Amino acid sequence: MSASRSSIWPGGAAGTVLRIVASRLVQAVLTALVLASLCFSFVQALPGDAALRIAAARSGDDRVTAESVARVREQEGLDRPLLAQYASWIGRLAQGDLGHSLVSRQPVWRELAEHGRFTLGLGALGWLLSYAIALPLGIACGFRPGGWLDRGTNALAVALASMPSFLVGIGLISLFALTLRWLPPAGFRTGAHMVLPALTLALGLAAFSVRIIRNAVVEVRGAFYMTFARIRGRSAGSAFLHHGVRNAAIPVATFAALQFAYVVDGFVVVETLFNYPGLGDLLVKSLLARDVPMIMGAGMVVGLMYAAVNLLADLTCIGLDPRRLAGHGA
Amino acid sequence: MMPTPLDRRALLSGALAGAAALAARPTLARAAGPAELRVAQPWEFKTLELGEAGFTYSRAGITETLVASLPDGRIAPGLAQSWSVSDDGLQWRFRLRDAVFHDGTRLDAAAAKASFERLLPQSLYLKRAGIAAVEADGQDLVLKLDRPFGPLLSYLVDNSAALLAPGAFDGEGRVRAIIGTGPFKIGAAELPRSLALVRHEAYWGEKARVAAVRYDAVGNGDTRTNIAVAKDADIVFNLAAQGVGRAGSAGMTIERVIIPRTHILMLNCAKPQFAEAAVRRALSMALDREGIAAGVMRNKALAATQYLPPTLAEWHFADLAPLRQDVAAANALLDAAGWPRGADGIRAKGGVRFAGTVRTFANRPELPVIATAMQAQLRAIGFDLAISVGEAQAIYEAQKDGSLELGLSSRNLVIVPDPIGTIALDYAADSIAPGSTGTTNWRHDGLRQEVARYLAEADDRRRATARRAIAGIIHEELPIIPVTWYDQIVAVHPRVSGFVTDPLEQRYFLDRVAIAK
Repeated sequence: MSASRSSIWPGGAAGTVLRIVASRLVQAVLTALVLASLCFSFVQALPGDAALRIAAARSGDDRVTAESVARVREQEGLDRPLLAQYASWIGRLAQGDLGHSLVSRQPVWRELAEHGRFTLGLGALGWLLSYAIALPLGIACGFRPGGWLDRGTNALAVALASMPSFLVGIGLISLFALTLRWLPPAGFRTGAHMVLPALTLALGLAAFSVRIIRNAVVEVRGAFYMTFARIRGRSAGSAFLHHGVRNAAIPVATFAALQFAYVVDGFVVVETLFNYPGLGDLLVKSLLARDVPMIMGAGMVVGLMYAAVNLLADLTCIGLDPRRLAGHGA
Repeated sequence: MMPTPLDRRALLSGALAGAAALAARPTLARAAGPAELRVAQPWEFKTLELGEAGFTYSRAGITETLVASLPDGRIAPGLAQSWSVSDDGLQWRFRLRDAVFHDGTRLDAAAAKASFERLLPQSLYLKRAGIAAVEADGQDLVLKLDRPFGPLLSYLVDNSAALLAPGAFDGEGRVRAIIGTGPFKIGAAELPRSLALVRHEAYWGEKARVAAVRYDAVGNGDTRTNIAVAKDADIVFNLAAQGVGRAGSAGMTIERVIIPRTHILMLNCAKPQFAEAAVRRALSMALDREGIAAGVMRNKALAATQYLPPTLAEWHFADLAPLRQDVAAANALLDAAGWPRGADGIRAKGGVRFAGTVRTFANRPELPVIATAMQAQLRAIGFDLAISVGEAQAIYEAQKDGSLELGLSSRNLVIVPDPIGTIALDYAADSIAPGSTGTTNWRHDGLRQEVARYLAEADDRRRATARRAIAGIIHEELPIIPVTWYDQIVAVHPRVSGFVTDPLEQRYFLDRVAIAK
């Protein structure tokens, strides 16, 4: 296979793509730093004593003592001026150290990696499942807009989209875990534990994406190049496969990337309901405990993940429609 | 050149494979086997420091202390098989039993001394017992006190000073692993969510009946209920009262036991509305505790007739007049105290409105509901109650800056089996305890003397007299108004036998449990 054949972009465009990636990476790092700094300011702006909350998070409200609060304050340097605390965090970050959790004392990167693994796993599964549901349904609806399937899907999508995810989750638990007893109601150890939370995510995501896919298909099917393809003698299915899919995929890819970023951010409610140890769960607990290094680390990681997913979406779109490179000077 | 279909397919299949691999990783973890006891309980294993999370490890049967408490409250030998005390009460000698730590090292007096010296300074209650020196003498551990301390044996049950093996500490004295002596040892850990426990085959006592325990932390109450209803765990602790019917219908056995925890209404006695004991009694009489217990806690028996529940038999006194609702008597008390009603039905005195804001928190979901019930009940005696729901720590912060009016909180009375530990902190200390459970601007020298007498006294009869005096003063003065007690609700799978509830919640006694084949 030739070099140009193994690339998904046209020859000569690789340099432009590299430039885009490099500039996006710089932007992403700066954004992540700003995000982490904002997290620091917001947490510090919250009323109340951080040392007291950290001590309570470590031992439970009943077991907090004046000594344990004083110990947290001293050992974690919370009695230093805010600027000194921030400067020390930046200093450590420059050496590639995100610090340690003030509650568990574990390195922040290890906590983030552990929880991030669970969120990414569940998110990817939910996201793929949502497109396994939405793609065939959306395309079928796009082929028969206004038909019974389109109307029925629309009604169901509106119902699912307007329902909070915990309600969908409770419904699925009631049916599959408590009534039929096919699946466990909570946990994270086996594949069976992932089915219900992934389905909860998938239904919520598919409710939106099925409409996007349906509209993209309707739009593409009405385009002039489709009519031209039919004039050239292609069947409706063949014309869609050869000319429609690529064009319809562009808005869908952008939307799918946004949805994946949303998943990565963590579905706090779903994670709590299913006792699933993901990033959202970690972030909420860290916020309640005022675990500043964890919050800042999580802010940075979530920011970087958003940027990475968006970059992937843009590259996919350029791959699907290389004319977009023109705007970048190719 | 345009991309070929092959390239896109390769890209797509790579992405799919990556996501699937990521998603499948948790499946690599071990699933529960049939011989494994599955336990769901609310507390995460947040840290390895016993001063912070010691109770989670002792309840699971991993760590042990010199002496132990039995479910009926009696103190029994633990890692010390016997003990003696000198005539002046200053020297306690404990004969250690022949026990082995989970890493195979023997428990000897030197190891016990090292563990004590490391953990004592950060222990929750034992550090208040006045232990001045710890000495190893053969197979004896000798504790030297700087003053006689009557409840020492109860304080020694403090699981924040459980005995750990020398190998449990790193070079700087920090706990690096929980290596105890209990009937179970940690086989694998997924902190903070889950511990896989295995039977300690060299346990000094009767060995655990199950070989393995999957011990999970499930913080959300509704999720624990679902687990119980689906029978996806063998024992589910801290089941919400609302889930009892469903778990029972699903075939789980429900065990309920009143534990020493009291939901309390805290009053800032420096505020003119709450300064007089008669007015505090009137507020107490306005509360329909039975209604709250039946309606919110789903158990009428939880209506608190006094501060300490009957589970603490030595501290619960039948001769104390039960706290009951009596609106007419409450109104009469307030009229006599000079708090006439205004046009809006709310009382006032000297320009001070008979009103206040109660601060509470939602970590215990029943508390805001109880606050709402009290709002209506207090209005009947002309008190206007506003409700502020926030963090538990906000109560303590308002106590400290003097802005607290009322607080609705919850107190675990037996961090150590003798409630004098919490009473001394909440009612007789010079500084406010950060647990949001103590009195506010209330000082009673008589109570302080009785507490000091009780702490220094070794004689059981004289201690009983002090107990009655302490309970009596708390009951009459009501600087904190008891609202309801609390019950531990446990759902137990029918395949489980030998389950024991410990009202003191020091241990879950999982070693006594068996699973039917």
